[in-house]
Amino acid sequence: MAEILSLEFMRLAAVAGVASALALSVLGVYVVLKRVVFVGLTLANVATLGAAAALALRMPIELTAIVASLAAAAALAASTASRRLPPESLIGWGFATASAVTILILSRTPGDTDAMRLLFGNVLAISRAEAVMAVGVAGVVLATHLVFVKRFVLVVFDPDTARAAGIATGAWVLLLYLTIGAATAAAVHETGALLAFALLTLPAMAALLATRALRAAFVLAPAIAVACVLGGLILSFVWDLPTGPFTVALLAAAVPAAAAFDRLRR
Amino acid sequence: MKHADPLLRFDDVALGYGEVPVLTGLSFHICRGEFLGIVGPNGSGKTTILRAILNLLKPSAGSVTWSGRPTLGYVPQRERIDTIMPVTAMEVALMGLAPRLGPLARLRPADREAARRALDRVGVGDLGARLFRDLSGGQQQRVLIARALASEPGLLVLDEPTNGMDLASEHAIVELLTELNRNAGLTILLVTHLLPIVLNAASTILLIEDGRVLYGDAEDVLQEEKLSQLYRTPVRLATVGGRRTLVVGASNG
Repeated sequence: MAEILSLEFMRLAAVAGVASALALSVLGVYVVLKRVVFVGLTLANVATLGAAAALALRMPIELTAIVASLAAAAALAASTASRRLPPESLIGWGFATASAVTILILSRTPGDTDAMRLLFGNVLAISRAEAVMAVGVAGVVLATHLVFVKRFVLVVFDPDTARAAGIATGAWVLLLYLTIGAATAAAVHETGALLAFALLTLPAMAALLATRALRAAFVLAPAIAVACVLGGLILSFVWDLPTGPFTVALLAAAVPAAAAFDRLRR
Repeated sequence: MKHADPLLRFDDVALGYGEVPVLTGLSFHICRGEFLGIVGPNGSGKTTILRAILNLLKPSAGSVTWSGRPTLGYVPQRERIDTIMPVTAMEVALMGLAPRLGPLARLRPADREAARRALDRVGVGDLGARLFRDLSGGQQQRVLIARALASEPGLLVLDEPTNGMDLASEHAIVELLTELNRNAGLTILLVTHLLPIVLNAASTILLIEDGRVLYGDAEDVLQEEKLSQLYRTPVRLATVGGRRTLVVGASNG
C-alpha cells in the first residue's frame, strides 16, 4: 500500500478519482430517481465530443469539454415532452450524434494517444492541473447540492407543487442538469465516458437498493463510489488490470450485492 | 351568494394555450370560508382554471383578481407524483414549508412541530416515519393534504383528490375536507370530474359541460331541471340517509 501511494501518478489518480466519485454519485441519486440515467451517458459523450473538437482545433481541452457538456445539459433541461416524442428521444439523439461526430473528428485528427485517451480516459495519466480541476469542479457541485438539497428534492419529487408554490422549477432543474454536466465533463477527461457514466448511476442504484431512506442514500452512494474507485486503483495496480474497466466492474458488482443485502435484511 | 367576502374573482375570463381557446366568458368567485367544487369531464378546462388560479397561466381576456392574495395550499393529482423517491410522510409534510422558508433556510424545531401538527390534523400523525410510497392511496392523499396545511394556507386547492380510490377512502377524504371547511373555516377549492364527490360537501359549485357553464350556490345549481339541461340527460336528485345522491338517466316515477 505504502509503495502504491508513494507513486505520484497514483496519488493524483486517487485525488481526482475520489473527487469525481463524490460529485457524480451524489448527483446520481437524482438521476436515478428522475429516471434519466441516460442523461449521464449523453453528457459524457458530448463532453468527449467537446474535447475532440478542442483537440482538432487546438483549443483548451478540459474547458471546451465542460462548455459543451453544460450546453447539452441546458438543452436537455429545457426539453419538454411533445405529443409525438418523449424527452428520452432527445437524449438518444444526443448520444448517437455526439458518439458519431467524435469518431469522425478523431479520424481526421493526428495523434492516436490523445484520441484514445479522449475516448477511453486514463485515470493513471492525470496531471496535477487536471487533478486540481477535478477537485475544484467537485467542490462547487457538492457545495451547491449541500446548500440547496431541500429545494432539489422538492423539485424532483413534485415539480407541479413546487411550481404552484412560486418556485422557479425550470431554473432548479437547469441548475441540477448544469451540475451533472459539469461533474460529468470534468470526470470524462480523466476516466473516460464509461467510468463517468458508471460513477453517476451505479453507486446511486446500489445505495437506493441497500437503504430505505433518501438521507442515507445520499451518504451511502458516495461511500460506495469512493470505496470502488480506491479499490479499483489499488487492485488493478496489484493485478495489472486496466483501471477504468476494473473499477466499473467493482461498481457493477455493488448493485447485486446491495440487492442481496436488502433481501437478507427483510 | 351567502359569503360576502370575495377572495378571488374571475370576471369574463378567457383562458387558452397559444391561439387555442379552452374557456371563454368565465365568471365566478371564491369567498372566504367557502367550499367551491369545480366539476367537469376530462378536457373540459378544469385544470386550465386551476393553472390560472395558481398563477401559471395568464388569461387572454378578462381579469383574475385577488383580495389580499392568501398563501395557497396546493394538493396535486396523486398520480402526478413519482413515488419512487424514498421520503417519509414527515419529510413530505415538511416540503409544504419549503416555499415559505426559502432555499437557504434550515428547518427549525418549530417547523417540524408544524408538520407534525398537520399530519395529526388529517389523521396520519402515527405514519410520520413511514415511507410515502408504502402508504395506501388514501393515506398518501392525507399526507399530501397535510403538506398543504403545514403552510397554514388561506386557500386549499385540490386537483382530483379522490382519483383511483376505493369508495371508503373516497368518502373519508371528502369527510376530512368537509370537516376542515365547516369546523376550521378553511376556504377550499376542489376540482373533480365526478359531481357526487362535491354533492354534499361544496357550498358553491361550478359545472362545466361541453363548453356550457353552470355556477352558483349548491342549492341553486343542484336542481334536477338545471342538471338535466346541462348534461342533456334526465338527472334526478334523491336524499338517502340525510345525504344527497344523484341518479342519471332515470325515468320519472
